[in-house]
Amino acid sequence: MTPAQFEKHIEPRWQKLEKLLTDVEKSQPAADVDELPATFRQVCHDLSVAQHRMSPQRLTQRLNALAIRGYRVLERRSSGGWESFVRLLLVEFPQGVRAEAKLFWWCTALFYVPAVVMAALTPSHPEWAMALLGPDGMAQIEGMYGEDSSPGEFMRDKFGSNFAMFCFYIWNNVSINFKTFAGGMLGGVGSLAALLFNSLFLGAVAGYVHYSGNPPTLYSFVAGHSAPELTGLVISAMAGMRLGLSVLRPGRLERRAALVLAGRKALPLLIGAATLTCIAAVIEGFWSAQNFAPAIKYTFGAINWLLLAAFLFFSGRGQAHAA
Amino acid sequence: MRLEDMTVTLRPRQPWEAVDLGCAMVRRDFGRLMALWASTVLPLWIVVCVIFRDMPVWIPLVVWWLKPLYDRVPLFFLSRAAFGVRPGFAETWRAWPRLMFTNFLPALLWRRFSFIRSFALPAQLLEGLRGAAANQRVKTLAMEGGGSGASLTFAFSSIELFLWLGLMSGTYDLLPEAATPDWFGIFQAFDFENTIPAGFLWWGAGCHMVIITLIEPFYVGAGFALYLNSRTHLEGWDVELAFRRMATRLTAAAALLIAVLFVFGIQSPAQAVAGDGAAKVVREVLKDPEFEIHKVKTQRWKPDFPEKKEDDKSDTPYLTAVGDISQVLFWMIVVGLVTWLVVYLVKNRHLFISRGVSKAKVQAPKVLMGMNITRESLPDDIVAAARAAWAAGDVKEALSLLYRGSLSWLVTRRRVPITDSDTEEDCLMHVVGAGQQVEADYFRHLTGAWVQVAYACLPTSDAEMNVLCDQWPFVEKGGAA
Amino acid sequence: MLAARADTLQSVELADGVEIQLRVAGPAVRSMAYTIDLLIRVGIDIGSALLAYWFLPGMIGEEMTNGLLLLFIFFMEWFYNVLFEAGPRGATPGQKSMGLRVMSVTGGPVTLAQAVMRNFLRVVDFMPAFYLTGIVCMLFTKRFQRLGDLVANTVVTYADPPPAITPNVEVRAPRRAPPQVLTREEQSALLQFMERAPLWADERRIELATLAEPLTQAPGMEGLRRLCGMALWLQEPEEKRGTPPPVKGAPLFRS
Repeated sequence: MTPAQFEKHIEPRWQKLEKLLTDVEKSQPAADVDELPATFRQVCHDLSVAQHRMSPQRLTQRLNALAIRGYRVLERRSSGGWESFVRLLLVEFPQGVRAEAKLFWWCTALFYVPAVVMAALTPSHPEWAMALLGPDGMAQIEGMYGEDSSPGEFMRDKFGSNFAMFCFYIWNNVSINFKTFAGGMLGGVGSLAALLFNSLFLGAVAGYVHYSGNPPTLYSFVAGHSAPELTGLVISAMAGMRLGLSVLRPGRLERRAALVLAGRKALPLLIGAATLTCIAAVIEGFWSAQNFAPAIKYTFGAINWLLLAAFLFFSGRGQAHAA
Repeated sequence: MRLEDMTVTLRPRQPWEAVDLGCAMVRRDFGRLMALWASTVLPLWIVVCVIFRDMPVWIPLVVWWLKPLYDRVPLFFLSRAAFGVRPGFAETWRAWPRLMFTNFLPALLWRRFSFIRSFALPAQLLEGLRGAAANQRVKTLAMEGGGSGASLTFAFSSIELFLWLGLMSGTYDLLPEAATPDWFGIFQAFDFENTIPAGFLWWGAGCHMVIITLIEPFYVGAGFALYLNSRTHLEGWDVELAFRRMATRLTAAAALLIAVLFVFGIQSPAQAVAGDGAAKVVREVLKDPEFEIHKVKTQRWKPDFPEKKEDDKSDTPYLTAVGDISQVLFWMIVVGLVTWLVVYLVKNRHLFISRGVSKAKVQAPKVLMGMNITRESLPDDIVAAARAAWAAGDVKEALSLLYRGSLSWLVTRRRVPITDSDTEEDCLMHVVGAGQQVEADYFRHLTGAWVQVAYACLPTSDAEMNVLCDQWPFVEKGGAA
Repeated sequence: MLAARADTLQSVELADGVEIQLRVAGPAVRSMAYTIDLLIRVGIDIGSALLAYWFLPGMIGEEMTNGLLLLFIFFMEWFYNVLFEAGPRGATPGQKSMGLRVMSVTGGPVTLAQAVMRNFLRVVDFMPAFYLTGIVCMLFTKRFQRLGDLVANTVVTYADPPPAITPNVEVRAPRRAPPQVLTREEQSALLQFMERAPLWADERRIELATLAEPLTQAPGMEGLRRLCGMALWLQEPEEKRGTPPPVKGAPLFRS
């Protein structure tokens, strides 16, 4: 077959493929859409023949582009919509946490131990907490949780301010989650730094309130949303560490492959952490500032902790592991 | 220099693709380029710094203004590296004065603001044209790719500017107190003289030089690739080179000078036609005894800065014993930190030296489930051997060959983390976990067949064996099965 | 061949054994696309803020407006790229305007997970400021990938096939076999010459043909004719029977 004949011979095929692809891309599949895979394979075959025969570039380049386009269409998977998202949250996320239980406990320890130490030291040595908080921070804390404050003072009186605070928490805290995760790329250093900084800051605030404020005001405010928010932060740092560890210790895989795998493992963790933080924002925005008795708030907080622990321990057990 | 040693793929490309090709060329030789850059540009910068030592504000501007001078050495290197000859220090230095002073005034004066600086430079420097002829030539070339040359300049100058700002803001916190400007004072009083310390300015100039060192070679390389692309489009330079290569092969000629290659023959059409083609010219040129193969000598460059004599006794008479001790302590800490850092870096060198070391560390298992899976224990063509065993009726041997072969490949090539205590099921899980879809599917199929034959003594059908042999995915890409 | 030749094409073998070539895009064009996206995003942010403060406070109060705007900005910051890249086009408006598209390294479309991963990791690529890390990483990886691309296993490629530059021209020259055995590369050069010759001036064609004199054994016009004859022979070694096809386009030789 001569090149000219070859070109003429394959032309109807790629034109057919082009037409089919255009239809599918416009999501108006024609009746003969079933022939798409077969036509695609034929055009791919033509492409290899054309490459081998050193056909003119206009032909090979067009066939190459068509093959890429066809592959995109054929390989596109419907993402499963809400169903797969719910599965990600309820099954893959707790499974992912359990699969990396050791890492989870390390991150938890790294977060809570410095906080507790800081909080315990501050009443006797307030200068560290003061240095960390800065004058503005101290003034703010004294304004909110000062000695003359009481647990019921947090009612936001303006209309819509609960909603505004909710949006603020989403914007601020979820962004922090994402950044904590991304920092893990630097060999885990970024995630660790974010974890430690937040831990020390938390400890300093708690310690400082003990030193010169009214602790019940603080605790009754944070009790409700503490479980999802703190756990969300720990898990996003854990997702970051997953990435960082794959850079530091790729094991038997090539570093690039290890990184890709770690990314796949870290994604459910990150999405779960962000969701936890969103839940925390809802609670913090609409519940924590309501004027309820501290006992109710503490009980609510404790229930949240229990629920969260049960969720992480039991949800998705017995389900098949995500491949 | 042999034409067969071309190290760049020439083909008519889209302009931005040509730019990317330039980046790829520079990346490949970045180390050598940096060495040449350090030996030719750094001295210039030191001179600039000495001249402007009292006015560090001007250093970035001067350094920026002199950029056309730096471009020439990378271009010289790249134009030769494209033909597989990477000039060393000696060669570069010999060429350096010529490179610097060719068209040096126009480049620094009225051509400084040309939007197609890096695109036009190869025509001005490599083709050996001067004056009006050079301008005409650049104009001709710019018909194809001139606009891209301008976008290229825009893109790279923005990248350079933002990376400069990025580097400055990234290292700002490392500055000592004395060198950070009083930003508040600047906006209050608009008094730049007293509020911006000289240390800050020096540091800014230093960051600028670092970024120029990083980006400018890529800019030059991109311009060079765009120039090559323009010639490929307009004159079929790729075809010309291929024909020359063919001519050298057929006439058994040996070498050709790069300078000859870049010269464009058809500049004066009359000469081209009357002169009976360039091939003859080249052949005549080649007879000249000057054109022998050049030897590339690499010499290591040792920095030879005069050592600074520090006169630190004048300001230390008031140091008390406490001060001495704290200083000793300080230095001990510094030495300790540096030692720790060095030990850490050496220990974790696999992080910086890619693959080479980490490959050496891998200890793939040699025996799995009682089977030897080293590559040496297997035949060269596993599939053929398996088919032969199958034809001879040895079902178990055939499947075991396939199974061992695939394990061997997966463990050594894909580095699937299989250990010698794993069972078939464990291996399968590891392979699936490694994420290679095609191979995992095949391996699942194979494992099923193997387990049946090996443990249940259930025979495999002919069809299945054929499928297993046909789909064998564990081969080098492009190699025969 | 000593070293592999520098090229920006990345060959990828599809699952069914076909080799396609991805044309990966480098930092220069990508930073242009990013700038366009940034302008679009900032424009939308400012526009929506103006619009919201113009009429929303009267309806739902100032606090609610603040909150909604914060949510919107949060969304734009983290999900603008994700949604566009995971969509059917695989490109943000900026990338589309520069003719780019995000793809998986395997040649397939980008999944939602990959889009999320590569865009959330922008934070690291941005460090310490203005994408210093990302650009340096792009300059020094083979497929021009920044860190986010490395983790998500994605590349940015040119979307459209390059426009055909060569007209389809019928060459009239007596077919003749090359007197020597040609390597594959030389054959390809001959075919390239014939394909692109219509783009060049007559003098240039003759000059190039003269370069191949050791093969054609004839200078000038005769060499060109012989060279084209050999290229035709490479395309189809045996004489065609029947009537010659009708002449399309401009003739290659002016006489």
